Amino acid sequence: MAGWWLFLRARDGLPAIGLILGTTVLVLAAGYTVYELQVVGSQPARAITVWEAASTALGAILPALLVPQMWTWERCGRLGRVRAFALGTAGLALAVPAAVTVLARVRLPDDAPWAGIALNVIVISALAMTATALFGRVLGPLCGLGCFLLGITVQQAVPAAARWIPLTLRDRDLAAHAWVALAFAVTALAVWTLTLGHSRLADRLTTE
Amino acid sequence: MRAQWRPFPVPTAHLVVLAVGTWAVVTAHATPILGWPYADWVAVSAEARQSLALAGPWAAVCGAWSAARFTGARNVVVTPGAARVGGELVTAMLLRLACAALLGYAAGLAPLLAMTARDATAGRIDLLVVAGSAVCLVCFVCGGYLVGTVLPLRAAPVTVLVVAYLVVVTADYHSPALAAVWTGGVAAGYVEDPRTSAFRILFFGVLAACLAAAAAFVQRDRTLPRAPRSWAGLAALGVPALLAISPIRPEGPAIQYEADPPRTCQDVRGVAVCVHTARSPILPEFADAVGRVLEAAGPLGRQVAGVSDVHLWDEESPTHVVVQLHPKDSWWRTQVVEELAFRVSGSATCREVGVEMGGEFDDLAPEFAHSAASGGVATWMVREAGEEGEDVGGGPEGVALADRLGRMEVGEVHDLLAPVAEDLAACRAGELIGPS
Repeated sequence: MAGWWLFLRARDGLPAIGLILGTTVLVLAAGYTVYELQVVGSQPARAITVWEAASTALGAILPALLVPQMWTWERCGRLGRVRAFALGTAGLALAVPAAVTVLARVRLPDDAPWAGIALNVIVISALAMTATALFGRVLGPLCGLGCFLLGITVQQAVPAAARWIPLTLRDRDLAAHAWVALAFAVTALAVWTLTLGHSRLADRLTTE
Repeated sequence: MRAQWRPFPVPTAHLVVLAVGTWAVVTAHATPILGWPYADWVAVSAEARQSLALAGPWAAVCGAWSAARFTGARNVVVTPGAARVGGELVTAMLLRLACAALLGYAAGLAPLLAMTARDATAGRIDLLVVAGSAVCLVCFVCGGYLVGTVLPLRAAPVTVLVVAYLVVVTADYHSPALAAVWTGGVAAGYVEDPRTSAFRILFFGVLAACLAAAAAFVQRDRTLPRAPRSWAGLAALGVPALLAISPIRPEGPAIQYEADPPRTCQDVRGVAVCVHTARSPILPEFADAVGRVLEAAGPLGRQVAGVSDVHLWDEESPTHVVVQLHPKDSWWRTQVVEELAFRVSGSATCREVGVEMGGEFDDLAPEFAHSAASGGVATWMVREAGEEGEDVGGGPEGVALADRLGRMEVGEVHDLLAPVAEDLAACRAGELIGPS
């Protein structure tokens, strides 16, 4: 337990927990609130539910809060143990935002596409996690969120391209979507574990 | 004499990223309009605002990045004890950032403006709308810059991205005088309320200035990392807030119908076919589609005296048909044929009757036979006009009627329909659905 505490203290552990709780409250309070995104007027609007947007934002930002701030020191220790911790937190960072969407079901109608949305959240979280480990904690969340916003914008503006974007609003073709999400998640976990959340490139780019 | 070394307040790379990104997203947003078959100044002017849906968040994130990267209290390029210049630095940075954003924005819109200036057949650019949109883009830069001043680098760009996108997505919930972008398109036949457009320039200008002033105040007080920070500068944002609730904010619809819109007409078989002059390049194809339906309609089309584009705001009457034109879609000619056939055959009357009856037809009711007869004739007309479109209406009985008419000569059909022309128009021609 002390190990975990120390591990989280060397990250933005408390803000991360606060963000998770805040998002959960927001998602539960919002219920089935939907915004319509319509960039191109002649195409039908793309609905964005609050429980999708908030969980996705959480998934995109969470890895940045779990970037080690004393990573040079952590590398001096027993690497195997540190890697195990890194893998554990990365797994949690992927699972928690998706779990928030599943939790949102208590306020949603039965036919809400929660499984598809949870997979969307995993895709974006994994993307943000990979980008955070490779490019640092400033660019990482921007990559994740940017991909999400770009993805839904393209889905609205060019419906023909929609099925090539692994973000769904329907519980259709879930099997294919699940494989994509799994591939993204495995890549993210591997990158995060190997780099311990902070690659050398990220170290060069981070000039905070 | 040694040249004095003066650091450039924003690295060129930041400005290039901002300008190129803005250019790219504006181009991506404006490309569909380049494919329209006519050049429409109203829609192109509005596009300057609508493209902010993508350009605004991008510019705001870049502003936040530059501010957070170079103005932080712990920044290594500034000695911790140095007094910050606040206003001077903010002015220098924001001027360059705003210029870069505007440059990319202008480059993105330039092809569209050039094409419209060359091809437009009516109207002219709405400078108030374009100017208001440019000021709004600067406002996005300043807003991002302020957040970058207040928050650390790892939090600022993400926060700004989320907030800017929320501003865009929730545009519907704000007054049009205050919303960065509007939902729904504007096209020839409408005019944007000039008072709203002028107020937008004023409001976004004041907002941008106050955001910059707030950033300057916050930076001026920032000396040591541990020194208490003062947020008093944020009070400057009260000015635009007051402006937003002040009585000079225009009320009423921001988009109005154009009074006495210019029209271009063509005579087709004695019928005047008119479109808004801005859309005159599509008039020949429109007239051709109308001509094909009128030829198929024969005696039914005699009562029609005029067909016009809905954006001319003509009154609809039994002798005057108003048609929605969607030339952005490739199947718009089929739509014209279907809509006209729907009107001429009386199906439109049947729909009104149906709505009056509560929208429900019992299979045995005489109204159902009337509706099927009109729908069948409409379907036959659409097929006769050479369109492969879907069946226009009338259900299985209507389609059966259309098939039956399709096996006859056109002259025979016209002879059959001529006596019941008035009944069809009034949705009373149920006897056509009889034993064949």
